[in-house]
Amino acid sequence: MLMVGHELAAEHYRESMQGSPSGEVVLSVRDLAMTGKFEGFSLDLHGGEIVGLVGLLGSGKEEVCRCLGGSESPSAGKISIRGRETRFNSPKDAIAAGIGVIPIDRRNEGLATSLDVANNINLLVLARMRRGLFLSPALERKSALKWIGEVMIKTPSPQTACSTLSGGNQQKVVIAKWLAAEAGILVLDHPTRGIDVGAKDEIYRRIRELAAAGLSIIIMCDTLEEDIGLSDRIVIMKDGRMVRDISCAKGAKPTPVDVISYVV
Amino acid sequence: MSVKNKVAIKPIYISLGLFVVLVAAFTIGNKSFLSLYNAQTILNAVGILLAVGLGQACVILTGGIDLSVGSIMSLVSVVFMLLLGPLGPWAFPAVLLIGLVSGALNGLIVSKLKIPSFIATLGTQGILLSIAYLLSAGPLSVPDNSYGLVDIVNGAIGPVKSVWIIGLATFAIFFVMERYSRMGRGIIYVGANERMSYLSGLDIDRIRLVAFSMSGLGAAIAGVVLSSTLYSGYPTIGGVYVLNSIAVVVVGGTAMTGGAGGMLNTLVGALIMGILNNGMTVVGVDVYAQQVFLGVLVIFAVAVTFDRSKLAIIK
Repeated sequence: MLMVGHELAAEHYRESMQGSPSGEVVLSVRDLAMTGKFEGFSLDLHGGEIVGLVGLLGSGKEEVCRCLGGSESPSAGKISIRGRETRFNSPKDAIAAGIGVIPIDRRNEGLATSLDVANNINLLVLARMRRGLFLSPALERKSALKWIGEVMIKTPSPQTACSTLSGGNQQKVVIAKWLAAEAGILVLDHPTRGIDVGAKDEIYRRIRELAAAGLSIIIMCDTLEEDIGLSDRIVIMKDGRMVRDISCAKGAKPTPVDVISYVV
Repeated sequence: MSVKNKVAIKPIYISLGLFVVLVAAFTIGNKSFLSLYNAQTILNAVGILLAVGLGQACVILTGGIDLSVGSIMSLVSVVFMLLLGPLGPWAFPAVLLIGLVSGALNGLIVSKLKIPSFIATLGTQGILLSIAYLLSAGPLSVPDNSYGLVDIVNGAIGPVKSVWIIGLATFAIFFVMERYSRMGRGIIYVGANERMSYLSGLDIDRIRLVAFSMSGLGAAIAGVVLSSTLYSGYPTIGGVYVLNSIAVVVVGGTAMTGGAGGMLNTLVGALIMGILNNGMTVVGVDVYAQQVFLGVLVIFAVAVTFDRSKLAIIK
């Protein structure tokens, strides 16, 4: 009885699709710190790996992600991408380095809800939408339709304003935008917040597929179950410090009860 | 699925409806409204409104406002008259450059000092006007040997007035920039959601710089055309074009909150404002009462297009 319940919960996070990360270190963080927020944060993120950042509000995990996305600057430490040390002065630098952030507040930070689906999907890849000097409406439409199909966005047309889509479909537009940009590292900040069960499942499956395709993912989830279920390992932060790095390999996942004591 | 569907009619259709209603009303009011001569007069005014309005639209689309366009027009008119003698045809590019530089200055002030465009351009509006007054407090007229040059702007190719061609050419440039360039799209993105634009790696300072420079260029084109048609340049020439340029933009259905509307809307807005200004005189509305109609129209247009979900950022 208990067994069945456990298997169901595992399959809920598509555990059967969980792969094993490659040996290549894609993102290497050493002793990253931000005065008053967090310190001594180190992490090696491998190709195809999903790492869950776990911690309470004020644990510093949000700030770590902002430093990785370039929207805030660390006060100390090093970030290397595929062995090359980099500095991010703005999100633009992080994007150029192949890091995409799917923010928690999709209405204010992820999308321009008043604009249509096509304009949101193509934002990061407009440079590729040109024929000669000018943007080509045909190329823009082709790209938008491709991603609407790929991520299965339910929208009447590419010209539909994002404000009229459901939360789940808005989130899929944000995901499509970063996939179109071919980001190699994705930071997913509560990707399933405020979306319905069906869309959640699609996003879980999508996360698995991306990892299988070699993308490296740092994720922060709504629940501890979700963190454990989706991740290859979880890094627990408390009061600005890393306290535990726990493996969540397929078929050998800890229970929330096992890890909760480290979190609080 | 969709719960939010409050904007049933696109603002531009309301604008086009208003356009038709105004033409009908003024024609009923006075048959000569639709005469060839009056239509030409309206289109001359539309050309100037269009140039300054297209520039203003670039800034308003980013969610800002440019209150210095009137002063740029005034300064350009004065400098144009001063330079026609010594520079000849080079006076044209010289004054357009003045417009561009003034606009770029606005853009730099807004993005580097991080102050609202309303205040920044209120400041430069005064500065540029002072420069115009310092150069010439009184009206300047076209130097005797330069009428030929001014008449390039003031002339016609067959039945087509140069002013209309200038207006349409300006429209074509701004329209292509808006629809088919990454910069134009950047202006829309920033106006629609600045925070998202920043997090998506757009160079917001550069986008602002270009938007304000385009506004300065539009104002300079309007200034050259206006001073050419009047054969004169003086510091008060552009004053009324601050309200007029904003009116042209919002009456066409572009939102003051940014990110919605554009150059096509501004073309419709310029036609409406040209018709309204002229028609009210033709049907005999008291000159002092005309401002009432303009004011009501602007408030109505803003009320229709204003995105209240962005109310927190209105300054």
